[in-house]
Amino acid sequence: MSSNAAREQAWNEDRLARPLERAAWKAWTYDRPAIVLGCSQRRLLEAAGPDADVEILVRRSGGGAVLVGPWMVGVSVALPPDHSMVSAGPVASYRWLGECLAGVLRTLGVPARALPPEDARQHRATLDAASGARPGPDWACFAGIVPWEAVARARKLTGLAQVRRRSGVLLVGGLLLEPPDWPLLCAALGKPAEDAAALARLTTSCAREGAADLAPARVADAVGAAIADALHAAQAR
Amino acid sequence: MTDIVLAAQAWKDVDPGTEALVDAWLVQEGARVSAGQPLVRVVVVKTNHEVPAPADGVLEKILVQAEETFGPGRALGVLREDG
Repeated sequence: MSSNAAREQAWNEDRLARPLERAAWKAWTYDRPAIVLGCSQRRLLEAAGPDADVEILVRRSGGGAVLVGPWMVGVSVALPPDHSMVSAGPVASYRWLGECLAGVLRTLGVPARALPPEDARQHRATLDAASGARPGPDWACFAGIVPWEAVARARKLTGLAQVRRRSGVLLVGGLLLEPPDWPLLCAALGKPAEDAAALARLTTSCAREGAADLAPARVADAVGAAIADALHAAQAR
Repeated sequence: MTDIVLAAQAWKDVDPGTEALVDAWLVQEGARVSAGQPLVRVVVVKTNHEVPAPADGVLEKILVQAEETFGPGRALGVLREDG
């Protein structure tokens, strides 16, 4: 039986395969761990260690490797190419989804904030200064930050990525309910153990921020509802 | 000859100095292409874009190979237009 991670990628592919006429979205929970690489990371498949008994997939969007699992809720939003939510350019297109996810996190009691471009730039500069000569695990999605991804107490909580085609625009994202199994991610891709420690320092999670009642299905429902509200509001404008 | 470039809108609000990455060319040099046909996939700010052919013609030359990076306005390739 295919994993939820594989079903997510199949759903994404299917939405981009033909012209989109209306918005479609789905929130995802993950029954078991899987690694989802960015579109430019196929070489990491070759580097996967012999003990990589975790499923490894490649997505269409850019960005770094993501370890999905019971610790995460994911989201896919597919929009027609001329939809108002994606017509202002790729970076601006992240804003509404980033703020949706941050809003859901705040309802859980997490002090999350989606970072505008200038704040994301400052956040990156701070991380670069702190890492010094040692490069961070920039192959991992949660090691870096782009505009409108959310942080709590300067640690990353959400990830975003995007695909833009003539047929439509696909926005994807994920938020951390619990700390992921960073050692599993690093071991599976042949990365050093110190990268796992770095990822733990750079990120946080709802549980770590004191949120309770983090049943993935409940949070996924909240994410879906927030997206529906945002799209409805956009349509009404 | 016409340059094949990533549209300016893809670079909107992107930090100065940020480079994009060529993910994959979808056609080979010498291939005949149609206006609007996707020629190459590139990634910038975690966004995967398809760059279309600006006109009917032949992909004369690839200037930026897969896994190479480029900045705004850089020609990724050259199209020899029909006519």
